[in-house]
Amino acid sequence: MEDIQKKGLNAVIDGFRKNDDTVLKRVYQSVFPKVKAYILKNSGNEAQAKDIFQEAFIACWRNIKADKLSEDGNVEAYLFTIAKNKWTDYLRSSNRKKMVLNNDITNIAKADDDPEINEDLQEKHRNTMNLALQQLGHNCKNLLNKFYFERKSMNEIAEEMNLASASARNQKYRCMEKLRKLSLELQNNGQ
Amino acid sequence: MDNSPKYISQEQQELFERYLMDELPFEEKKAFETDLAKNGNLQKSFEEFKLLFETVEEAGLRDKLEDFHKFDERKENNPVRKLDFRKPRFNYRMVASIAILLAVGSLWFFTRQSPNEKLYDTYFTPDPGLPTVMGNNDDYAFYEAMVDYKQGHYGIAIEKWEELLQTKPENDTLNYFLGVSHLVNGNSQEAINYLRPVGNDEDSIFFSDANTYLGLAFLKTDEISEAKKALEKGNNKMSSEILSEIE
Repeated sequence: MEDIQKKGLNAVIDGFRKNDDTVLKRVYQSVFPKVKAYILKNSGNEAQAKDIFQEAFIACWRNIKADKLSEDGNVEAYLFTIAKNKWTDYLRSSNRKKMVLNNDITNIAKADDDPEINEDLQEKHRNTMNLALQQLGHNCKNLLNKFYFERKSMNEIAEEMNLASASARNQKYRCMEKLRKLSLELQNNGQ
Repeated sequence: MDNSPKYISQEQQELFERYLMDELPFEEKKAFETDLAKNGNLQKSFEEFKLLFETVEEAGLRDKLEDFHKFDERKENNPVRKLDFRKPRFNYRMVASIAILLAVGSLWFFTRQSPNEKLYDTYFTPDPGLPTVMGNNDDYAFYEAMVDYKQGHYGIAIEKWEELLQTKPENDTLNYFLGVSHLVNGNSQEAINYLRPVGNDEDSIFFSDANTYLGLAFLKTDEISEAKKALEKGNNKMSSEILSEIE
């Protein structure tokens, strides 16, 4: 029975690694109602529940890809825990801000050893990369998304985009080159 | 014009892609990892590419999440609602119908459906299940059955939960999921036996959903007045929709 269970759970982890649409959707739709109920019960609203849950989902997905969840780990329980922690952090940070504001300090300075600083930097870097991606043309974004996220083959993509296979392959290379150039430019401009 | 270091070659990009997408055969993967460990420049290029790759991938996921979320936007404002019903025009209804057709078995195809059965078929889909965090032994046993339930092995889940129920006969979660599992398996009477106590327990978080399932179970057994009573107690949008179709 344990083997069956492990197999089932590994399939979920595997689905996350391969961006399997069916697996991702199933986990999303099975866990979100529970997270929403939890956040609504703990002074949150629907919009906050959605934001927190989606951030948790991305974090969970990233961590699975970085092998931070063991092979026999339960993805749904893990995702629920991340979302719960994110909500607790959110409540704590808004309470902290309130306390600081009550003491008439308008600029909240973080301590040097604050682990959030590192996270903030990572987040800033991610934002820069996203900005670069937004500046990429629609065709490039579409092609890269089909290949890297949807994991379609170059032949499928070429057919969908009405391109010769070699041309699609070449275009993918050029698009990544362009994305890199844009991100370097943004970084150099201090974005 | 461009002072940044030169971008990697197309071949190198494709090697990085295959590694990140886990498409390299074992030997090639090991060889690549050895090269990475030895070659600082390669490592630097790889890390840079990985970041670009992840950016595209994550943006794709973010777009998808909006699609995944649409199921919730169609629900009513009932925060503890667990039922995953869909209006007939959505894909999930199709999935639910297939699941039910499989579960109920081939007899379904050879018997003419009554209007109540059609209504049941239109609205029924199993509860998606709980994300259970493992704690003590009882939780583990419950969770193990939940894995079976989510994999569609309702019979196995029923066996395990019925065993657990012997020590906790009044547990609403167990009764609720046993009821839903029996309903999926086409045993409406059994489903009613399990769902009825949950449908009478106003303190249970499954109260509303249990009554909706109870209503559907009574539709299956053609007990219309009982179905109406349960659906009225269900007091959610889907119950109201079913009620309006009965009347």
